[in-house]
Amino acid sequence: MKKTIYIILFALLCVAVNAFAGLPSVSQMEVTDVTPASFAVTWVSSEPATGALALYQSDCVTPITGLVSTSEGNDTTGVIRVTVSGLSADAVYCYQASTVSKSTAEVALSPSQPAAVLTARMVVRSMTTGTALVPFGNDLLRAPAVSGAADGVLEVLYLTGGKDPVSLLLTNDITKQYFNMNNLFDAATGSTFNLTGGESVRISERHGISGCVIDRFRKVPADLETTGVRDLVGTPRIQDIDFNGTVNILDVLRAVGGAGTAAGDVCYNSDLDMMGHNKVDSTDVQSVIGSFDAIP
Amino acid sequence: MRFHSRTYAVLLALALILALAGAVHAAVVGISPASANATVGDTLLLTVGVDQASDLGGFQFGISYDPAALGINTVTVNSAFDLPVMNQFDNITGKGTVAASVYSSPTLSGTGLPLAVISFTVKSSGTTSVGLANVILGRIGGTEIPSTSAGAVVSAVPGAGPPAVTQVSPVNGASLVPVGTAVVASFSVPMNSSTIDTASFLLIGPSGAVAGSVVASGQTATFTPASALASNTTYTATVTTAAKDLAGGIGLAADYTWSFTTLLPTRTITASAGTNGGITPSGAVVVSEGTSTTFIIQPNTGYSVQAVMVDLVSQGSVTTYTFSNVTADHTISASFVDDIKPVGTITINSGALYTNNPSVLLSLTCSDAGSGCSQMQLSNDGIAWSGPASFATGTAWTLAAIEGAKNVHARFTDVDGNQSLSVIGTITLDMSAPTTTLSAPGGNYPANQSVTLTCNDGLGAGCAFIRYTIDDSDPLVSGLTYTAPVLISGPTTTLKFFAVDLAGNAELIQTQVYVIDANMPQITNVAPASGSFVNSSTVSYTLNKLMASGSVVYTRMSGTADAQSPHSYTMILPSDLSAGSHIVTDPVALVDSAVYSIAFSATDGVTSAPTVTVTNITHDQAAAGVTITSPTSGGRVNTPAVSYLLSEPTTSGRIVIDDGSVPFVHILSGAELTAGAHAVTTSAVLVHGMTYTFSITNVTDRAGNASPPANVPNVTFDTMAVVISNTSPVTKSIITTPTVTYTLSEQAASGTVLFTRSGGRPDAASPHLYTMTVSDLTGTTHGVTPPVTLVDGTFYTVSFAATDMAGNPATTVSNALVFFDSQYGKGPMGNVDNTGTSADIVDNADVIKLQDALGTRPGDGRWNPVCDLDRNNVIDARDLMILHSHYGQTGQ
Repeated sequence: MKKTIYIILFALLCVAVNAFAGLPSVSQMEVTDVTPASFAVTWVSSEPATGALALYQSDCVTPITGLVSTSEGNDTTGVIRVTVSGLSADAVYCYQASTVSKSTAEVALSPSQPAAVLTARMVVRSMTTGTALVPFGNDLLRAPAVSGAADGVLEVLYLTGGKDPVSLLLTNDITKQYFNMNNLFDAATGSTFNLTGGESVRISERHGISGCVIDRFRKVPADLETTGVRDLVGTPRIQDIDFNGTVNILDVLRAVGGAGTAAGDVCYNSDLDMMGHNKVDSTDVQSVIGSFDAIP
Repeated sequence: MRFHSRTYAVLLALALILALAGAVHAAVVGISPASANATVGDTLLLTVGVDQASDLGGFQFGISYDPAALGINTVTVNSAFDLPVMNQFDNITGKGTVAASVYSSPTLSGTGLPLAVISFTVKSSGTTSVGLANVILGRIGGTEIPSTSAGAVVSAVPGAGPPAVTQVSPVNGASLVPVGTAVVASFSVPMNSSTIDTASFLLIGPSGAVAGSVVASGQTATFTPASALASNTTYTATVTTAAKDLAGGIGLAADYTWSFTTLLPTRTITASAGTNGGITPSGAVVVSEGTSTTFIIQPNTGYSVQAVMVDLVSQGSVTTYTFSNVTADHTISASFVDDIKPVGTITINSGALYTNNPSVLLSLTCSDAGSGCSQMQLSNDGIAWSGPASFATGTAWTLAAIEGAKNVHARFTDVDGNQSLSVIGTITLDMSAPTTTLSAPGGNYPANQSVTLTCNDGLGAGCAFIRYTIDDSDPLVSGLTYTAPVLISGPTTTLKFFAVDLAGNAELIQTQVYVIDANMPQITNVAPASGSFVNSSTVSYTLNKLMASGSVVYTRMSGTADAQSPHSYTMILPSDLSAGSHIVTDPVALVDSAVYSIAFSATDGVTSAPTVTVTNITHDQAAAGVTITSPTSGGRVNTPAVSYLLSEPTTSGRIVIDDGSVPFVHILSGAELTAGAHAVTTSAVLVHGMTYTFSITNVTDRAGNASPPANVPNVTFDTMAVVISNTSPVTKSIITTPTVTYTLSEQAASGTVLFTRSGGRPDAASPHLYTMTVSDLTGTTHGVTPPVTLVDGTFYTVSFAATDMAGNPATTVSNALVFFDSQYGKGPMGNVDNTGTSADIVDNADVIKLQDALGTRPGDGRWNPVCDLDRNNVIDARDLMILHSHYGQTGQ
């Protein structure tokens, strides 16, 4: 009888331990910064973890070794980015990420089977004026300020027509908080995307273990072929949160989704703070509603 | 390319499959019933709903209809959407917009979910459609739910009943109706205009029927009086059964009658405003007699009210004015002035943080809702300004051509001469290109190399990126952005690269050629490392093969002069030149405090290995100086703290506190090991009264030199404070001098006596502080007369404080209500006023003084202890009797 009780207690203990220290859960996995010679995979772990990539040939079976792989990320935030370089242009590779829990050393493989990536075709540089080394207009676009501490936050920039998104893993170094648009390639041609200005972008700000994902909408500034880091252009009408020219129900739902957050919260999105009072609440929602565009 | 196209085709097909799958699951928004039958005059309810919704958080749709056929009465949104967003419709244009969201309520999923119910009035017969447009469904957070939508068709037939009056103006029972008002009746159906005239649409006043005209059209008829109605009069309007509908010629079921009352007699207030503002209401404002009317004066943005004139009398720059109990006509006028400064902004190079060119483009804004922006001025320092120029939104400007942070100041002036505050734009001027360093320079290597490129921009804007190629092509054209170490493989690779900083300065293209040869000689794993400190010339290295010859050369870089530099050691064959690791012990004599580079060279007789050089090797043979500054030998302490000095940075050391049995050890770490003064409070648990030796031992500097221990013996740990006792003057005493006495329980390090005024006569010099001298601090009883000047008739608190040799403070002793009277005790009993002419006689002056304090006790404001002749802590009749018993007595 006593032995039976011990067995039951041991089983319950195993269940309890498993509930708190299982495999790390992987989410928001995405391939970014695909160039002719490299690509990155970004993801978020449910707990502090380290990450690595296994690389395969296009059959997704034959392993590839000897390439340079760089893993980045703040150990505590759960955000991981691994960059593989030394690849061939216009070629298919397969990858599978491993996420190793820092507390239990258990390993999660994602996706369950290796997934394919097509590298970009070629780098095309063009300058309309001058013969100097620079300018390369719109090479570097400054990232919008993030909510809370920047260190370890991943920003992913999506541009319609772009082959793959461009990512930026933030640190506390404010001089490095910009997107390198050299890593943006055209989905149709596979060549370097020529940004002329006015392109709509969505920047997805990922705060790792907290699960918070904040979207900000901007436009690429006009390409003046000047040098240095340039600022993305924000909406001139703050209630038009998704910057599509109209305040509609989707803007209202974005404000509703952010209600209850305040400056300092990682889930706080300053784009939703219509009243500029460092929080998002019903007054901000009402501000969006007050600017709602009637359907013509 | 073929592979690329095929892959894109596969991806496109996958996208199509996903799109089709999404279409299958798209939500469907529709109107129910999709086909409705109705009768003219009926109320028709149509429900807009959604099928196949998932996590629906909000919706919007536009609705369109023929306003001649249908009119919306109400739109009722499903209450599950607890956040109304928009609910508006226009029965003139036949369009409406409905939008709502959940806020506190949960999201909705499923099929047949109603979004809103629309109540229509069917206005005419025939078939008409109701359409939906711009339908958007969304989830909390703003994700759109794909959807399709469909409208509805309504078929209406004429109604069978009699027409009815549905609305009138003025409404029944209305009062204060303007005398120029027309009377309007609206009908449930279009009416036959020929049946509605002054016979069937009547307006009756006190004098009978009012003369006027009737115009009827569609569903509306209007009676317009021929002249203004009378003031303060009740009128009755009637539409009779003679009014018939258009469709069937059917008349009203019964006469329809309603009444209203006109305004009281009126007065006119003529309101006007000058330019740049307004007054509300304005023009000829008709008001009823006896009422009040308020006018609001509103300047345009950028202007203020200059003056308000009422009946040509100025009321100042008020923004409201009220006419109360109006009994006559009035005038009110307002004028405005621009006295507000314009505001502006300045941006340099579209807000760039850096530039590499002093010639910049300024973007300027200026707003002035008043007279408008006119001119601007610019400056590089906010002192020397450019001449006024017409305001422009953009202009070229030249910065001072010295690298660093730059400000450009701008200020703006409006047409009326108001000048803005200065605004500043900032940018950093950086005209220097960055440089790129490599972890391995070009050359011959025995194996593939992973080369790290590092950009350095010094004090400039910071590096932006590095571009490189490894196929000898131009990195300007085909360069990749450097993100990770570059793999260099054999047999020959040409690495080309350049860096660009955040200001856009670009480095010239650098080229490095690598030859990978597995048989070439190589020196690795050299020691010491660059930046090391050493106390010998010992070196180590690894050779990948047997070499024919080699050397180690030490060359002074800085520090103490070394006349023998360079020192060269020739490797010995075969002991120093075989394949593998080697250690050469102290091969040359170096100079203390000199800084060297060490170059390792070797050759296999055919090819030389790349020379490996380490730099900034400091030869240091002197140990760090260690001095304990506190405690001192023979001293006393009350904490386990040690203060010490280190003459140079060290790598190890320990504090030892030893009572002769088991010593306490504190390992120095971190900042405790740096050069300079330190104070460390250890966690040692010491015993009161015990004697200890404090030491710092095991100190080693960066070169490994050990310092001799520093010792401070005979330190007594003392946590018991000195005690102050037997103090005088005691509380409530009378003193004639500032003499004090006290006893100290042990030798003290310091002490004070403080006289602080607490009452009586003023003492501007209070508090009086006396600091005990060395002779006052011994552990015995002391009598001291501090050199302080107290004031007669003043109460003091006398406080004694001391701290012992270990730093333990004594409990302060304070004696209150000590009264100072330098003349006290002179003359006969009762001579309380022993000054001046009555110094030696008990007289009336003494009586007055005692009476002044009569009835008081210690602590009272008028308490004077000198008058308490019987010393019972109260000044009463007994004291007065004692004084009287000595009245007239004289003498010392």
